[in-house]
Parts: sequence; C-alpha cells; structure tokens
Amino acid sequence: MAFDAGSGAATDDDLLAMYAAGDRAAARVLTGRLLPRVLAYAARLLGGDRAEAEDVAQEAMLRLWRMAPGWRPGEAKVSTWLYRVVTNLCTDRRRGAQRRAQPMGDDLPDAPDGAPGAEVRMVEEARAAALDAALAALPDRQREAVVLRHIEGLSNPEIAEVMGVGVEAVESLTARGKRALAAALAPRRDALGYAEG
Amino acid sequence: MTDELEGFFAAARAAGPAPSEALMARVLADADAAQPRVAGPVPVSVEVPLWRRWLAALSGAVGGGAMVTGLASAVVAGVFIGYAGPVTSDWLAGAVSGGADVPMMAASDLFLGEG
Repeated sequence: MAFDAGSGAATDDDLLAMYAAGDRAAARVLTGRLLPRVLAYAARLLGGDRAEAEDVAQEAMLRLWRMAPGWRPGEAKVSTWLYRVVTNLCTDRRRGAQRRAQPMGDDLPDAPDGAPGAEVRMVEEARAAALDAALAALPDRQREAVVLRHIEGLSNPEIAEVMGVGVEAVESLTARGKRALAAALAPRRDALGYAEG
Repeated sequence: MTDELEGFFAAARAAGPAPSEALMARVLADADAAQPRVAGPVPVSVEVPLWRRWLAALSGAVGGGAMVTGLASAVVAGVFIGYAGPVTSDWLAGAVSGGADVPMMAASDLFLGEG
C-alpha cells in the first residue's frame, strides 16, 4: 500500500517541504505516517530481528530529515526513496551478519476459545507469523520483491527503482518468490484455516 | 494457492510491529536536531549620531534622563546669572511692586514709638 495521503491531506512531498521550512508539526505527521511501514519492512528483511529493524528504521528516517532541504518535489516519491534506503541498509547489515533462517516452528496458536472474533484474530495472526517465517527463508532479493509488491503495495516500476533493477527482473523475482512461498506454506494449509480442495 | 497466498499477504499487511513510544521519540528527536533553523529578521544597522551616543553615555553616568534635564536647567540658570549680575533686593522689590518705591521702616519711626 502506498502511504501518500489521499485528496485533501498534505502529501509526503508537502510535509517534507514544510519540515525543511521549519514546521515541527510536519515532522510528527510524517513520522506517524512513514515509520510504521519502514519498521515493518525492515523487520521482514531482517528475519524478524526487532532491535536491528528499529536501528535501521531510525537511521533511514534520520537520512530523510537530513535530505529534506535538498528534496525536489515531483521527481520521485518520498516513500520510494525511503524504501530504497531501508533496502540498502538491510543489505549492509546482512552482509556482515550470519543470518539464520527463522524456523517455521510448531508454535501454532492454542485452540480458539470459541468466540468467533477471537478465532478469526488468532487465525490471522498465525497466517502472518507463518508467512514471515517463510519469507525469512527466501533469498534476499526474492524476499524484497515479494514484500514490496504484496505487502507494501508498490508497483513493479517503483520496486525496480527501489531495488535498482529492471521491471522484468522484478517480475521474475516476485514470481519465483511466490512459488517458493506457496511450496513452503502448502503443508500447513489445514492448520492455517484453509480447507482441502 | 494464489488466493491462499493473498490471504497470507492480507494478514501480514494487517499485522506488523508497531513503533514503540521510545522509537517514536528517538526519531522525532533526530528530526528536531536535523531541522533547518529558519533565520529571524535581520537587524538593520543604524548609524547613531555622535551627539546621541554621547548623551546616552552621560545619561547612564549621572543617573538617567531626569538628572540630565535637571543639570541642563542648572546650567542655563547659571549662564543667565552670569550675564544678569547677582540678584539684589531692588530687583526683587521691583519684581513685587512693579517699580514703585516701597519705603521700608524709617529710622524716625523708631523714636515715635512708645517710650
């Protein structure tokens, strides 16, 4: 999902220009809008390491603040720029770290307590956790492409800009990543609320 | 499986770690530190005449503008007295009576008193 504001609200470009002009409230609005997505994206690229993801998210936002005076509205999207920074920061972190794939553990939620709302919520949480575990097992570039396309909601040209590759490469990475995810998640279909057939 | 994958993706979009208050605070502190400072109005340099600077210095030395006014009045009075001569009783009498002589008590009156 793109997180530029809809009609009637200030765009990310507007808010960044206001921040550069000395408007402190603009920083708070931008942070509230961008930080959750930046943190979630970083966490998925770093295999769920929350502490590392927070460091990356803070560093990415800091680079945004420093870049603000030189930002030229209309040339690119603030969100795309930010995703690119996070992608590169995570790549740097992974190069020096020995990353272990998160095991697709047996930590399925307990049997639901019978309340319809609770059961639905627990199934959703289990699916999200299973997907995150499967994503962590993908090659880095496939994971980046799949997360940007199907969770963050970027278009293929935007993903190409973030990853520094061509659109065809993005399509190939996304397709291969989804095939790997489907294969990893298929054995757990029943446990995750999908009926046979 | 494509539809089922979409179900997983939808669950992931709804989930995800929310930033802690501490992380929000650190990011906002970074924003504040990095924010360009907008310059205020630039003071216009005004050339103050020498006599005004001297007067301001004197005013500060003697205790303010009232003191300067008093001193100025004293100076003017002194200059006047210097030109007009000392103040005499004739001058004072003339000032009171409009110029007519006003006899003071005569010496003979002293002998006409009771005795």
